[in-house]
Amino acid sequence: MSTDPAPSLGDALGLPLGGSPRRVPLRRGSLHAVEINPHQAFQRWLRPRRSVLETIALRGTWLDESDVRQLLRLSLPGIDEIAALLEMLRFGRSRKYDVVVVDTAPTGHTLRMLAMPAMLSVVAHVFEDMQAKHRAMVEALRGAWLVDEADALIRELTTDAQRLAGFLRDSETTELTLVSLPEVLAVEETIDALCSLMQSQIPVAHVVVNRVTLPPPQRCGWCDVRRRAETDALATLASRVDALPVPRGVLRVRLSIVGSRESEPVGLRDLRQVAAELAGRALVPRTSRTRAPAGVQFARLPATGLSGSHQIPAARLLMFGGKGGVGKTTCAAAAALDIAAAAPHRRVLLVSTDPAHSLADVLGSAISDTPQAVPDCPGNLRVRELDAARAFESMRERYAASVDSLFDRLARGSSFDAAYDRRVMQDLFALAPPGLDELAAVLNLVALLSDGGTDHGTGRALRAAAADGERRKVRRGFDVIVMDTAPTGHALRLLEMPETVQDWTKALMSILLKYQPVMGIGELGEALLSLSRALGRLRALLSNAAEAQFVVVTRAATLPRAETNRLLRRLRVLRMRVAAVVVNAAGAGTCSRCRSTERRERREIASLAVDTQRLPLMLAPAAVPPPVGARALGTWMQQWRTIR
Amino acid sequence: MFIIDSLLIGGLRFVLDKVAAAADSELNDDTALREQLLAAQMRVELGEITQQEFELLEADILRRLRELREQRQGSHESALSSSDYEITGIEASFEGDEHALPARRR
Repeated sequence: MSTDPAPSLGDALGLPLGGSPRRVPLRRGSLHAVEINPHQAFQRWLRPRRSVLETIALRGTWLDESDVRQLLRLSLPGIDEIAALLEMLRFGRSRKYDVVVVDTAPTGHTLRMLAMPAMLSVVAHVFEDMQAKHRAMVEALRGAWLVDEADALIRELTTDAQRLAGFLRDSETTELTLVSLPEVLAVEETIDALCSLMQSQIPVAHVVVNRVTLPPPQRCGWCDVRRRAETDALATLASRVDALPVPRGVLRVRLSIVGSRESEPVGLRDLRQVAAELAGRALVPRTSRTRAPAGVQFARLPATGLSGSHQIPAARLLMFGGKGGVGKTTCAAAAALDIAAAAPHRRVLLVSTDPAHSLADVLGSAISDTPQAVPDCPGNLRVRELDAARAFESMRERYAASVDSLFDRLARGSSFDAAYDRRVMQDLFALAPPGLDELAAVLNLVALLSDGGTDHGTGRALRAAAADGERRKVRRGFDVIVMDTAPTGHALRLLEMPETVQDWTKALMSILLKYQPVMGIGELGEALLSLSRALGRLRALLSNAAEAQFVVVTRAATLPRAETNRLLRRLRVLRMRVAAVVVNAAGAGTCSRCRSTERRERREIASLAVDTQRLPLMLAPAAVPPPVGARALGTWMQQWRTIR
Repeated sequence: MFIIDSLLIGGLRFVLDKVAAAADSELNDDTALREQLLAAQMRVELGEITQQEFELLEADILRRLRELREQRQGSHESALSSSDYEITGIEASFEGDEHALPARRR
């Protein structure tokens, strides 16, 4: 099953897949495949439980039926992670399958998903709070409490959460494999993921390094350089894995490699060959014997297109997105440097919203959540890796204060006991919502794009909601924001998020207005109002072609092209202007294998040119080692070619 | 369940009565007016009222706020703009105490 919101499983199998498992035609054995449909999966879970959830909410809060119904109709941020969990539970429990193999979303969001059983426990706890108030009143009246459906649901959630958490940590039941590439950025991301998983006590059984270049058929300078760089990357991976503290009783992580093929493995026969290799070839770490030439080597690009002049427009907001591993971060960084150098009077911000940040690795410098200048980079450039948890924490503190004051008012002097309600509200606010990263990115954008607020004083609430240290920046603002997003699926969620959050904000506003005679509106209302207005401005900006544009990064291969086409379709629906499509890591060397690679790439690029119609199309050469740091990135960008 | 419901309503009733009783207090007038302004802003954002309707409401509320201010300070004030009244938070008290704390003004 694939839990990736932008799945490629069907492409890899060469079979169209949907939200219900379908049989994969095999000669021997039984295999089914599915690309989960998050909305369907959630609705399937919600349907039989909806009325119980409504009951819990009605009993546990001062909301009435129409309020609860309104809220339950809204779409959830983080729906992909929720659905992934629910489907894993469903198929894991089903008697139809003995083994479930999961193709997960890219690193950052899979780590979020794996942390979700803990969140499920908290949700159950919040419901328990709501139920407790009701139970206390009934017991006071009737002197007894009979366990009901609500209790049953709460117990189900709690049990599921505990079982799932245990399941994921038990190496008898769960085997987690990390897949990497023999490139520095991929290796760094893999190591980060390993550390994170170890901290959560989720054991990793296996690390597979895919697409390792095998010896060329003839002498080839390019292949040699490539193999040397890959050997170094593999050696780094092996030594870093070795250095990790392994808890007692846990087996060492198995490292293996899968050789690069001339064409992508697609379909059952190709995949069986990969399987055979997965079982066999262990990673033998070696340091490379010969010294690599200094600097970056660029592949020869297929002889098409004009060299030099590439134009990435400096829109107010420029988002870089695409399939995982194609080189989004590298392209975003190069573009930001270029834009900053070309217009020294403009303040440029390069920000990563991917929970698995790679900006620091690409720039070769430490980066934090606070926008900072980076050595060797133009002085008008600031760089930031968004810390979603921290951004949410400061927002939560802000709102928790106003919710508290709301309950203070309600409690003072009246016979209405709000002790339970206050606890429920506080517990709710303790939840980090799924979709945290997209939420934080949107709120961050909202704060960055507010030019000091022109609303009557309500801008203040908004500015206060931005992270500390952002205040000064917000007042001055940035002229250009270059954003490196998470891979495709979650980049699309990010673009859908402003509408989702605005729907929630408005729903809460209308509930507040409804209860105004009793509770007043106060700071919470003011904050919600500013937020709703700012989100409206953000949505207007995103659909304004002059202000916000998207650059799709891809590679000259079949699966990335298929994903690119789906991404472009979705961007059209979202009315997001696409500035350009960049085909990254193009070109090869001189041996016969390289030449045949080049032919295949040319065919892919030609198909892509047809698919992308009139969009500007650029080629960026493969570079070994991948460009790191301002100078290398600048040199690399000089080599780009414009095809259209 | 019904008994509980009416107890709750009783609680709400108590609060509403307090609000009504405090209607003459100049403090709560000021606060209530500012809340009304915020509520109107929220309604226009929700599309419940039009921009025109909002402007009429706003003009009316500002006029009453101005009258209130003039009453208190007994001097001539120039026309108030809406930026003079930043709605930041309400601290109206629902206790029996009529001489409640003054509203916080930024």
